[in-house]
Amino acid sequence: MKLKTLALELEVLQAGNDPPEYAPGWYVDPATGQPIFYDPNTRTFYTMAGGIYIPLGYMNTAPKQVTLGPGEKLKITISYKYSGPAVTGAVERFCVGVYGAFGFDEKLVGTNTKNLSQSTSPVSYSGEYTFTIPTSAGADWDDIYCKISGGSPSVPETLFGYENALIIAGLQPTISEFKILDYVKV
Amino acid sequence: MVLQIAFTPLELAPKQFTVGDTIRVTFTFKYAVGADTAITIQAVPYQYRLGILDRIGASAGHKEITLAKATEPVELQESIDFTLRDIAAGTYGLLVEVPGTTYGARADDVLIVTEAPSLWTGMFGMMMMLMMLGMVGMVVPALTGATTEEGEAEGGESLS
Repeated sequence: MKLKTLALELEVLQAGNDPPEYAPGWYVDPATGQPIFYDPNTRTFYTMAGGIYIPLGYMNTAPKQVTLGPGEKLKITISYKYSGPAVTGAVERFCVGVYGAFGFDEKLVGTNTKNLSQSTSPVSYSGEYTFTIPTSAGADWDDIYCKISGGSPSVPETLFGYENALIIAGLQPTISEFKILDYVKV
Repeated sequence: MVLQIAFTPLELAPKQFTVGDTIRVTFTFKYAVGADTAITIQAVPYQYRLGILDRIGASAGHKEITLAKATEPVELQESIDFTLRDIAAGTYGLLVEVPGTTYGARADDVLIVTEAPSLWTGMFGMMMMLMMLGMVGMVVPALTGATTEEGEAEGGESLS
């Protein structure tokens, strides 16, 4: 079976009242190349959509698409930085599903628990989870997101996801570029 | 992921057919599927009636095609035969589709269908020919007889 990977880079996690790492202003999202605005008051990046600033860190346009069929494996890797008190049992949550008007409908979920060390400066962490695509996978299971939350003391919940990151070749065929080439009497 | 199949504008030239003709339509598409899957493709003439696409079901042709597992899109070319049955003379579109889905392609006004010569038309032609032959058969002996009688009369006269 093929193993295909998709990497996500999460935001910086900071616990407590540590000062923001970034100065306020515009930055370029290295994942998508889109301009993003950082607000130190909320310690959140924002992107503009339809004239409205919305928090970055949830669903974004996928930088690439991975095609998968039933039985194939998808490995999602994440990286993030953390500074703050030591945390035990923080949860890394990996999801594949359908993102729509009513939020994210989680179809496949995987979790890891992780202990984070005490640090006054951001320390890099990474995590990964491998899903096996089931035969029941729908063609619309094309979104993914990852979340870090929980633990003791609890880390600030951080989300990040990609829309249309996957192309699922399910049991129902997907057909495109249908054309009539010719027709003749026989 | 929302899958939309856009009907591709076609540059197919209209062609003339007669009721009873069998037409072979060749088509192509790309597909991806997680396991070997059989699908049915239908080729059918259609007309718009009150703005609604009306398939001439009696003339439809069907073919079952097995799509081999392919997680990356692959192109497939196939053909279907269908026979123009129970169809009135007129101009029709040609639709190739996967019934029950939005997958397909169509071309408006490419089938110009004319009616086949009817039995009565054939019989009328034959009757006309028979009548003409009959008339010829009646006229030729009459003419031939008159000529002969005239010839004999002339000959008689010359002999005397």
